Amino acid sequence: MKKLLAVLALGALTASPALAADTLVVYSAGPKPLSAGLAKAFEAKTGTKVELFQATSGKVMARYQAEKANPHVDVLISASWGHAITLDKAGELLAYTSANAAKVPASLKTGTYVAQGAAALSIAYNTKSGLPQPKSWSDLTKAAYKDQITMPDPAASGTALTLLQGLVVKDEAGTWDLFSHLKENGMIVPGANNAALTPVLQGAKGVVFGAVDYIAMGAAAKGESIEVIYPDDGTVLAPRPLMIPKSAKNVEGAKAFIDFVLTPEGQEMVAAQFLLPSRTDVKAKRPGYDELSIIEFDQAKAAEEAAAAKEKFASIMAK
Amino acid sequence: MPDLAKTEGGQSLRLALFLFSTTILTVIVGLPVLAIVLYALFPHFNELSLAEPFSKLLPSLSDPRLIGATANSLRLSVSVTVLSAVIAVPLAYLRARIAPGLGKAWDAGFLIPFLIPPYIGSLAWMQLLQRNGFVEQMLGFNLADGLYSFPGIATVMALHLFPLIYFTTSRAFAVIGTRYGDVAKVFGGRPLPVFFRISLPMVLPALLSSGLIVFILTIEEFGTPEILGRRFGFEVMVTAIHAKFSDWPIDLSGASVLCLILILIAFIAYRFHHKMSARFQTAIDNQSVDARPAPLSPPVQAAIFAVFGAVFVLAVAAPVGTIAISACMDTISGGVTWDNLSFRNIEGLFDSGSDALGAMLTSLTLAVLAAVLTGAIALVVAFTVVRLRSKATVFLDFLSILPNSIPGMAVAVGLILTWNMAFWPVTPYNTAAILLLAYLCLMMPYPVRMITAALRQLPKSLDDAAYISGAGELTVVLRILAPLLMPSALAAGFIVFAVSTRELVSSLMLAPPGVETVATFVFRQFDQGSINSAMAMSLVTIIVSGSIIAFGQRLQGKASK
Amino acid sequence: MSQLSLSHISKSFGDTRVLRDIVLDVEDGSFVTLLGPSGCGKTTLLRIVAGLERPDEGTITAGERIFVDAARGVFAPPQTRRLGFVFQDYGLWPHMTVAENVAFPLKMAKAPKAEIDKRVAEVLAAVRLSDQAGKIPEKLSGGQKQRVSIARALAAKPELILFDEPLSNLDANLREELGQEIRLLSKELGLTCINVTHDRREAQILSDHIALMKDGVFHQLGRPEDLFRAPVDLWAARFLDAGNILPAASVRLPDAAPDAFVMVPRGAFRIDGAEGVPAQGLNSIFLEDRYEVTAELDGHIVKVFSPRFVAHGEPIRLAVDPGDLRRYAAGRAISR
Repeated sequence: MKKLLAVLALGALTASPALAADTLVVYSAGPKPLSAGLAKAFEAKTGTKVELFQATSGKVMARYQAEKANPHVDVLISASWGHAITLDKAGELLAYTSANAAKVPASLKTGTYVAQGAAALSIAYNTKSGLPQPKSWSDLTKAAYKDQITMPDPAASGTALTLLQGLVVKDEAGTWDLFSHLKENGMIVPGANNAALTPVLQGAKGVVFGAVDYIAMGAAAKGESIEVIYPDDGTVLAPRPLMIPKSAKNVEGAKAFIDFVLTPEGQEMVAAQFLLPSRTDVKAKRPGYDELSIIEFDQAKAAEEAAAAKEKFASIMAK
Repeated sequence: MPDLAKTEGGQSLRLALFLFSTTILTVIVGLPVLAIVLYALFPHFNELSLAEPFSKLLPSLSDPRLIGATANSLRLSVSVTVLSAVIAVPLAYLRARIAPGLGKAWDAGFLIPFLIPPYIGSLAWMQLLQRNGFVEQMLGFNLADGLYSFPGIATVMALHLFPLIYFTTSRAFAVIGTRYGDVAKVFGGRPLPVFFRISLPMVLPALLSSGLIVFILTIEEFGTPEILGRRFGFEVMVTAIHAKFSDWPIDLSGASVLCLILILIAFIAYRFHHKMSARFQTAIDNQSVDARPAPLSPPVQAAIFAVFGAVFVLAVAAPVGTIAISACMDTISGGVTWDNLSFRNIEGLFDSGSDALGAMLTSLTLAVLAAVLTGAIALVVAFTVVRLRSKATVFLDFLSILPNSIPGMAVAVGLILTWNMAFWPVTPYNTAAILLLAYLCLMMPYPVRMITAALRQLPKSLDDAAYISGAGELTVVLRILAPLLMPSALAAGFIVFAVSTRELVSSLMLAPPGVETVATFVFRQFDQGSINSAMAMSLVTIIVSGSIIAFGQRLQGKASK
Repeated sequence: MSQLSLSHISKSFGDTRVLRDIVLDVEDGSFVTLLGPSGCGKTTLLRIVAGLERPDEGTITAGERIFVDAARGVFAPPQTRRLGFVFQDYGLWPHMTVAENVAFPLKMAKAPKAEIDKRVAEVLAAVRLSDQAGKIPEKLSGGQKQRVSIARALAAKPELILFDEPLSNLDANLREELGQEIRLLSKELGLTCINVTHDRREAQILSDHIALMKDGVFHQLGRPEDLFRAPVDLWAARFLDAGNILPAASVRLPDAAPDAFVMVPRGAFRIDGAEGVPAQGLNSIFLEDRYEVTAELDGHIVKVFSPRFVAHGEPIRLAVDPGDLRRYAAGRAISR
């Protein structure tokens, strides 16, 4: 009785609970303009109604998990490549290779998932802070940057974890050393990506170690005094996977959506957010693959040691 | 004791009311909680499988992080409760001694902290006190070290929660009147000992029940420990639970285990409060409110004003002012300078492309519905628990306060687990109705406790007189009790309204595609780096919901004349 | 109502036996008071008659109608019993006016509006509160509130009115006055009433019959003069404060057993007899038309009516005729 009352009362506000075959359910990480834009454009193009749930990658994955008894989602888009690796390992992803993925580099696609685009990890620094412009990761251990550094927590941020793993693969001992010195230099780890960026924007801190580049670039475009630096000693890419779970109801629609995201039109929307489009033939609005010094490493293998890496990092950063 | 047996017509209505209360509370509260418990015990419950039972219990419980987090949670809750009482009780005591008009003005002011979402409040304090924050920009120094510390976090939370204790105890002080104090003074008692030995013990019941609520709200609070605690490595149970929900790999089942511990702590607190209340039951022999006490001298009045003013500045002016300034900043890095201030963010909310108005409308509608529905349900539950006493009503009573101890995230997962089942012919899942269910679950304790307490004050002779005059149970509830309980129901309704407009975590998890609430909007803005736009939306919401409550209270005041 | 009959009413709350095997017949038009100390079960019995509690055993009938028959599972809820009830705390609904309070039983009986208005005016006039009809209870004095309560109880012309300590919340003067009014009203209207109180004075003012209760049973039943003149035992004598209780030896009663007691009413003592037991005056109070003297006799405090003032410390002599006192042995009364 109560259910009925509630459902009736909110009729105007509800989406229809009965999903017809020409509806596509997409759970996507941000940024909102991108996910909403892709959904709208796809709708306009194909007439398929898109139901979009947009949240952080973590909440997207949590909802997917919780719904397993009665799954709804057709397309999952995360900001963390590690999510795709884990789901694939558990055999939960549908194999699909889009025709439009031909121009996507091998490191950004597999038989079951492909990148929508990628962010690169960078150093973001506040140009009003009076600090010297850093050139490499290890620059931040210098005295000039004492108590001015933030870093997103690899335990909470998939992109920070990717950076950590990449640096460890490149030079394990050196990397842990680096973090010890950073800790001594007063680096704090205040939470996920935004908890690290906001203090720098506000001027409370001067520089972010491991900032997600497109977010900082977006802020700079809005007039914030922030600049993105790619360190000389190389950085990692954080590709954002497009996934179709095996439990998807509208498989054809899901495939069509992924195809769409990988069209030049879709990729231009990606580029508009300062992300690196996964197709190499679409021009990016920021440094592209050729201009970045990327640390390549086997992300799947690194995923197995992820827990250990997080723990070691946490122990170095603990008081 | 009244029977529930169905011998004559009137008795079957009692049974119906009892069944109604039980069913409603079970559906709203019991099912999601049961789902969480089952998920904690059977880690594959989300796939409707009972495989590997109890396999998560030991690993989750033996996590060394857990012990530290639990200790921190308890430490924080106790500190915040004590600190809130230290702020609230003197204010409540003094409240009876100032002019009624001024007192009402302070009361209205101290309602405002309720309307500020805790995470926004914490962000505001950070902006105010951090290095290069507003205080440093205007006055040259910062209090960052003070803020990012245990005393700092406890103070921020106490400043947010003390109004709960303030309102309950000021009412108690008003009822006691100054009579007992006068009696003591005649026998030579000086003000301070009189306060501690006579007035304070008499408000102990009110203090205990509001203190319990503060304790439980602190222990399940997420925003402030997440934002401030992380800065100095301070982890509490709820942030640990949240980490399990959001850090990869996600451990929903392990998180459910931790939720069980939270529920256990809440249960213990509830029993403790029960025992303490029974022991400190003071019977006040005459519930009349005194004539106005003797007026105080101007210097004393001024001192009292200063005390209220200082608390107001700290609890209301500072956070709201900061939010307002942030809302008006064009760029985050521009600082508090004249050329960086404009109404651009606020105007942007009303743009046609913005979802802000839709989110606001959704939130307000849901909040009003939640307030009305919880009030109605609480009325029936209160009647069942207080007047139709039986063993099962203890269970009802516990069910009704249980949600206070469960984090919003757990309620969300519980609701998904409960309602996202293929076998329901019709389900609120993936409609806005599920949000309403979440709010009903989370908010149920407030009206139930407040209306139950008010009903206990109504003598049974009012009911009996009606029965003897020929009224049935339903008539008694509707024509006798409901009108008399209306003030409490309205007060509770305002609280439910205020808290619902800013509910964050379960809204984030449960909002169906296309539905935004104020909190999800704000959170998304913040997540995209547009902190000032988030502040703008929060400011507008605070003003709108505050106005609605103020308007509602004026209506209520007029109606009771 | 021809008669209200209570037959073998018993009630327990948990392990405590509150009422045992109560038997009572109330005649039409009579005023019965259940008198007793707190905990004796009187209020429970009243509530059972009202239907607000159910007895474990026994039956209650009102003429042809059965209120309750525990053995056969018959129970008429309070709404159907056609009663009036006057509560100790008045039980007035704070959100309704006086007139609305009084009208409520008639509204429940679905009487037409014109009839309701007429009847409300009638009963308010009977309790002399016609000019307060529009006020809310908060604005009334205790005595006025109780009158509204009585008016409401009378409104639907009930066959039986129950009173639960109606005068105990009122000041002393008001108690007398309202008590007399209630008695007059009950006689004028021919009402059958049951009253519950622990106050003997209230029982004296209101009742045709008094049932003295102790520990869940009727200890003594009778007209007020029967109880007060001849309490059945020392406990009753003490509770009723029917007179001075002294060892028989103190009044020099011949042929009395060593453990015998006597009860001497206040008016039975004579002061200033040449014979009499020596005593010492302690205090004298003037009550309307004579003094009540408190004196010490043989180590006991006694109260005596006296035509004259006795000063503190004045030696006096007190005498009593053996025929004017009552004897008790081992607590129980023995015949004179």
